[in-house]
Amino acid sequence: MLRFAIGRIAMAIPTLIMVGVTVFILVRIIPGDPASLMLGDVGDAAALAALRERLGLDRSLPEQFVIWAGLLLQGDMGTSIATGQPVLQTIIARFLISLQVVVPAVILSTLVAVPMGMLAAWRQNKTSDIALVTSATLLMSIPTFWMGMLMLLLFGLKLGWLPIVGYVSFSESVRGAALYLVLPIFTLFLHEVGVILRMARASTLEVLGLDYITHARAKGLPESTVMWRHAFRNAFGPTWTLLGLILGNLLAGVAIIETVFTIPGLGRLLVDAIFARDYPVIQGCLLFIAGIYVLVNLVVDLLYPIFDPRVTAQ
Amino acid sequence: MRTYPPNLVIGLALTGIIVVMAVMGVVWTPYDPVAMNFTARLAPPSWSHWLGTDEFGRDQLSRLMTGAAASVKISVLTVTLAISAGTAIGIVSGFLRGWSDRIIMSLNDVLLAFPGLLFALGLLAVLGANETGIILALGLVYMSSVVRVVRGTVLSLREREFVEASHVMGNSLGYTMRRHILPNCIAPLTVLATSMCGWALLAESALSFLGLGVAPPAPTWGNMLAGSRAFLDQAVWLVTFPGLTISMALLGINLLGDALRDRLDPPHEEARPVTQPLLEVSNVTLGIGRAGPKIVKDASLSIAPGRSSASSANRVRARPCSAARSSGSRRHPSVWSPATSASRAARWASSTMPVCGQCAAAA
Repeated sequence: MLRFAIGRIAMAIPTLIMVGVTVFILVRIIPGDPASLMLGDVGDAAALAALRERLGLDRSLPEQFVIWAGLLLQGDMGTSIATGQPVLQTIIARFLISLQVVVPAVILSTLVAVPMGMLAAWRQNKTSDIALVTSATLLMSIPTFWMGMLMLLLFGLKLGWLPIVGYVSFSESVRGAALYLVLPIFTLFLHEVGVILRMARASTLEVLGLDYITHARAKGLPESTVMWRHAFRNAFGPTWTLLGLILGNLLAGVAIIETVFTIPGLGRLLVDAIFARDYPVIQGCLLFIAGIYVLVNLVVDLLYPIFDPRVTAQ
Repeated sequence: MRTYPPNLVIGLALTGIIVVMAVMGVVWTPYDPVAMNFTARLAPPSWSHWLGTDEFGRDQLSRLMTGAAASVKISVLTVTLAISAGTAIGIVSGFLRGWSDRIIMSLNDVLLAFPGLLFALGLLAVLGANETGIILALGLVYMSSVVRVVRGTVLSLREREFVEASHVMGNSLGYTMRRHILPNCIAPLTVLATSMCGWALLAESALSFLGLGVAPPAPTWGNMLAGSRAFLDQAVWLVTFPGLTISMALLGINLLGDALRDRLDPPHEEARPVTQPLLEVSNVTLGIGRAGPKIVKDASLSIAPGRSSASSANRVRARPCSAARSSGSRRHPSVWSPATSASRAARWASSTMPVCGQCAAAA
């Protein structure tokens, strides 16, 4: 197990380095002087010279990367052109807001979709299976931005049950924060339920076709024991991997739901930075989200042996 | 009459409607999609404007049709770019192996290390948020999936006899790749390309919704929805129809993708493969009582090689004694622990008839 964990962590390090190199190159291929891009149009000559010196722009590209990576490891991602605030602090503050939407949505959808997917697989080709798969396909096909707008229309404007748009932090009002988060979380939940249900169904179907399940049934075990004790652990492995990918993708795509519900999260920060050509923030957001994506998948892989211990032996 | 799976029929129908809408959007629309008419601002659906008008009095149906053309064009070009570049790179990587393969796959893995939409956003920041930027960004992001799929297929194909035969016949590498490898990649690529059309359509709509896609006043489904946010309480039709069209398109593509996967990639769906019967029973003769005809005569059993005995026991379980069922008795268990494969098979044979093993033995 320890060997597996060390091996997997060792694999993540080059990936993180490559992510860093890619983001570094991405900003360097924009036409123009990187120092001017980082300071914006208002940067004066002295500030430009100082930044050039700090980033080592008169040196070779590999040397520039080493200097840039060194600053990064010290937590220095520069300052925002638009606000003048340190990029890392801004990103972390916004990231914590995005997490309040993404994490509950993923947890809730997993808790609902996995048992439903297993039920659909258990009742393969029966009415309940067809109904569940059709609902999942329909939910998957509705884009989150439209679903969010429909939620606003129904629960916010027509029924008036929930506040329409905005964000209140938990430090200001726990109840207010919870009320504002219900609709965005529910919207993401509905979409992800469809995705996870189909995956859970497919992986359960594969497991149900294996001989050890037939053997468990032949022993006369109740179907609930066969499904939960024998099928669940093996069937959940692929879904667990998918959850890591979903979490990472949601962090990248959360800008959409944040735009619909006017939540000042990380996704919105990135999109606003693209509009404002705030390159330090763009670079910081890309690095941060991609880094989190790699780390989430690393954690998912490290916990995978809980569901399938065979991976540690391979 | 041959019947087609419902997901294929519905998927084709929905996708067909969108394609027709897109083609019509290029050649004819009821009104000019960008012409403003301030006398008909926010008009609800009527005979003159079937789907209503927006805040500038522009006809919603005409804009949806033109938006369909833009969305379909961007999706098709994105998928074409991803498939053509990804296939070429995947075939070269998988077929040549060695250093070229390692370098290509390392670069490809870097692309896969980013969430797709994030990388597309990063590229849009560099390339500029416009139609060409979206096609290039999404094409590059999806290319990484194509490279993986094609390389995997090529790796399994390159060891096959027909590829070796092509080498032996003196065919060049290029000819072998084009003539023998490429045609065999078409099935997985068709499935992937269909899914990618859906991804591209959704991503384009999402980027346009965020304001990073095709710039207004040119209509796309995404920017129409974004524009409707301010009129959510006044003009429900502005929110309803673009969203419904995107959902219809995605549903059609998803169903079509599922149908194609079932047809072209059957192992994916065959969760309970029964390629060969576990136990075959033939020539069975049965009777009741000593004086009557024989219970079993000329029974021939054949068990599939390598299959577990548990499977045949399960078949026994599925057929409890009908006599016991009808009498409500629980004395004849439908599952037992067989000692040997032979006795198990014999019991299975007897259990296929309306008597349980114990009754048959007594008879």
